[in-house]
Amino acid sequence: MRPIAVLVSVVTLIAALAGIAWLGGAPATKEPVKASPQAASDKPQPRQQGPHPKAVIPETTFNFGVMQHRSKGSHKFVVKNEGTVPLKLQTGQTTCQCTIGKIGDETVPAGGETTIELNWEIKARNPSFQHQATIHTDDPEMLQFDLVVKGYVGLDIVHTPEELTFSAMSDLRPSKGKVFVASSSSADFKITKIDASSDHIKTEVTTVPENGRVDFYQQVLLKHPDFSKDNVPVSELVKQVYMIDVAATGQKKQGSFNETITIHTDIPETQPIVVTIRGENPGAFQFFPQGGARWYPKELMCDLGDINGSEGRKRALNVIGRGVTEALQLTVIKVEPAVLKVATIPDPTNKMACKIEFEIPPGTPAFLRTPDAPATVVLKSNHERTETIELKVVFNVQ
Amino acid sequence: MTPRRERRNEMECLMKVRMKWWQTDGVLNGRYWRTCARLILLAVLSGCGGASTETTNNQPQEVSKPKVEMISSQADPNKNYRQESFKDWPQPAMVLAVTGEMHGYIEPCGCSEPQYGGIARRASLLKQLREKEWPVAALDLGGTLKNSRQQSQFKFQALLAALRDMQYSSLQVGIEELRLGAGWLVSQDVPPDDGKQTDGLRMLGANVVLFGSTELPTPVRQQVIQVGALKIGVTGVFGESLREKLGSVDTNEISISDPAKAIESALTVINNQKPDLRVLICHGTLQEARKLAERFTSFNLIIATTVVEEPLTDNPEQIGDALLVATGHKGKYVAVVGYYPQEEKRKFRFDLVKLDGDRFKNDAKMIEHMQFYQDMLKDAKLLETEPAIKHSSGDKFVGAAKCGECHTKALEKWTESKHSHAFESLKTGRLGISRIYDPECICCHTVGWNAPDVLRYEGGYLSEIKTSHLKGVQCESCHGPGSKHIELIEQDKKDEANKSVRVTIAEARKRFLCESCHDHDNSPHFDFEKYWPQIAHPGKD
Repeated sequence: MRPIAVLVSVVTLIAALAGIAWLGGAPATKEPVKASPQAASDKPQPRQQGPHPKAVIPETTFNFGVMQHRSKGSHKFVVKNEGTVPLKLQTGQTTCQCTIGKIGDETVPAGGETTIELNWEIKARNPSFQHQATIHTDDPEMLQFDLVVKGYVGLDIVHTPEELTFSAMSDLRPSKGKVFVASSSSADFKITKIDASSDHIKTEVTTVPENGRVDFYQQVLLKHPDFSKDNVPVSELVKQVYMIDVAATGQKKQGSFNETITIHTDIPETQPIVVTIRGENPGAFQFFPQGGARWYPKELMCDLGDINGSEGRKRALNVIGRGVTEALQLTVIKVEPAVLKVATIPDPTNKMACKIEFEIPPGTPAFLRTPDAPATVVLKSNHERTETIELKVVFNVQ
Repeated sequence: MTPRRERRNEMECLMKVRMKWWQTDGVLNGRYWRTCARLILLAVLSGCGGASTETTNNQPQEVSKPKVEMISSQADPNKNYRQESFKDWPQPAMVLAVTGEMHGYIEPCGCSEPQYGGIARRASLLKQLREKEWPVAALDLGGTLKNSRQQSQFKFQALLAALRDMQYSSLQVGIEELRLGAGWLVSQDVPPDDGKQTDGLRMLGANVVLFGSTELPTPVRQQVIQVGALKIGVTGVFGESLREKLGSVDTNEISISDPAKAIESALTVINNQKPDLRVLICHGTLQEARKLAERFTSFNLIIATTVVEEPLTDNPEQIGDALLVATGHKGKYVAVVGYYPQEEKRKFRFDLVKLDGDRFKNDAKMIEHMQFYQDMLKDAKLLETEPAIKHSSGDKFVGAAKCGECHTKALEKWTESKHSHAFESLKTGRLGISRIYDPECICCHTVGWNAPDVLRYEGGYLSEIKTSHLKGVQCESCHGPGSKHIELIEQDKKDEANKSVRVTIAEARKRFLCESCHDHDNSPHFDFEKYWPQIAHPGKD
């Protein structure tokens, strides 16, 4: 063969290969096309007819035991194919803070096996964790399976509850609550100081004995139904616990209470713990409307709304008397105008409660009472703090 | 001749034969040149075909993750509840949409990218279900809030209004709701005008008694709700298992009775109305819910709390003929249960729907509620009225401009960073709603707040007018209040001055300083090594 023929052949071949490489691989200048989202059909699809692969996963849940907050973990799960044809695997969704590291082999040969690695990080300051990943397959008997890692979290310092709420404070007696402070890393940490934002807050610290730590962890902190089955030693999770008794006195006869305590410890690299203490001293009485009435607490005003005069209507106000020593009694001593009928009905089952019933009798002519010119109802009470209650009532009889 | 030699001769013969077709008398013929041209053309066409299917723009390609529809995940092929998005369901007689344990996340949780959840998307899902002309009942397990501060009260009010607009029937009172206080809770439930207790959204709690009185309209013990042609009886209990979590609530005001007895009474009332389906909402642990399901076998559906944020496994659980369902935390999911009474083997279908932004657009009405919520926070001047705490240093905040009088290079670097625009980003914000009056947002986007506890330090940011110099994430957000530092500099005590504010990179890493704001709920992919270079700055000029 002549050299020129060889040369031309070689040049042709090189040109062909270069053309493929250049046009197929080189950057284009046109706008990028977004990868279209994969539809459900992109999951591995089982064959129309057998034989089929058979996915077998000896372990789908791995209990790591105890991990420290901010630590990372990984675990490899084994997936076997006990079928007679290859098994396809595809990663699906994972929960937050969990990623699928590697699938050893996305197509598992018949009789073979592969591993799937899950990686996770403990970011949330929760006493337990559970992360999982979903894997899709073309095994018609197991189109997907979940791999789960779970365990418990050691926290260098933790407190519970995060806030104290006193819904019914009184200036006559303290409201009490408890705050627990615990550590999984330090067995001998100390609470060095507690700062209260108000003189109306008193605190007292006691150490929870060792035999009380399990109860604390299970009853107070964790509430995990499987904890006792997992045989995790509490000593790994709680090395020391303090209980702080908090007593707060509402300094006003009526109003809100909004203070804090700051708990300082000697655990290094930790910030002081701030616990908010909120409460309400709602006063001697609370009123709750019923059956269409509306209540305006600041104005002590009840709105009976629109009432058909020929039919008449009843509306009610439930009254709760706080701190009563005997059954609450309310007696009507004045109602103006007389067109409004008022009755009080004590609750025989609850000494704190009494109902005030307002009635516009049938056949009442049109009558209007507004917030500027309300009807007035005066009641006498046997509450030690408040002898009389004066209510405003508005309504529109049509 | 050896076989090998024979084979070689054979190949040489073949090559000679093959070589012949392009030669005519030893000269390259036209056929040869045509063949070459064809080869080149083929190569060109192949190359073009490859180019049109690839995406390049001199930038790293991001392949979007497969958008797998979230479906119930059961490995056991014999279980009935798996692998079917509700969009593939046949027409059900009724659908129950179940939510719970929202823990204050009225907006999508920032714990993942993309983010999931939020009431605006939830409303969109419910709308999709109703547009299919499926009768829908919506129920909530409770646990709607994160804490019981005044901000939570406003959030609860906005949420109640939102739930009413979404046509929810029931909201079980849970830990967080009861911590708001009996009096406040009752005042939020304005009963319907005609006195009927069953229509519209009602707060539920068969074993919860407020002020020792069963006369109060809240909570109701049970409901019978008409859903399409069917009636469902719903009751709810606060679990014994979670009683400890109530903490310091006054037992004169809030008492929790035996759940089992309360359920018995509620069932008596429900059964009188012969409902087609019975639902138990148990604001208690799964364990407790299982026991109640085993005892009260007439319930078809039980809803319970879970310790797992995303209950993708063993959900739902079959207890006898009933389904036990968990919804997860932070409002990321809605458990959708379809009811098919005519089907013998498969009366229920289940889909734990993840509220992503692709399938579920933001509902306009919910955006109004979120705006109203922010308006309430603004009107209440919450930033100023909530208590402030003392900073452990006892020092005061001075603002970046003051720091920049000496540290000009650091100030310049800060001005170029996103930190300096953190306040403005709250103004424009998500969905066009400004959040500059929201403590939960301000605590990380301004100076002078204890971000993890959402508490203001004394002297910390209050408002644009009073503390405009503390907008954005500034020097003192990491270095602490600077008043002492300035004082010491003025006294020429430079070493002490430096010590008072110095934070080395090692210390920042060790103390997880950045993570006080870049936490897993707001910055799930935070990596100190990648983020630090964006704000790295010199100390002294």
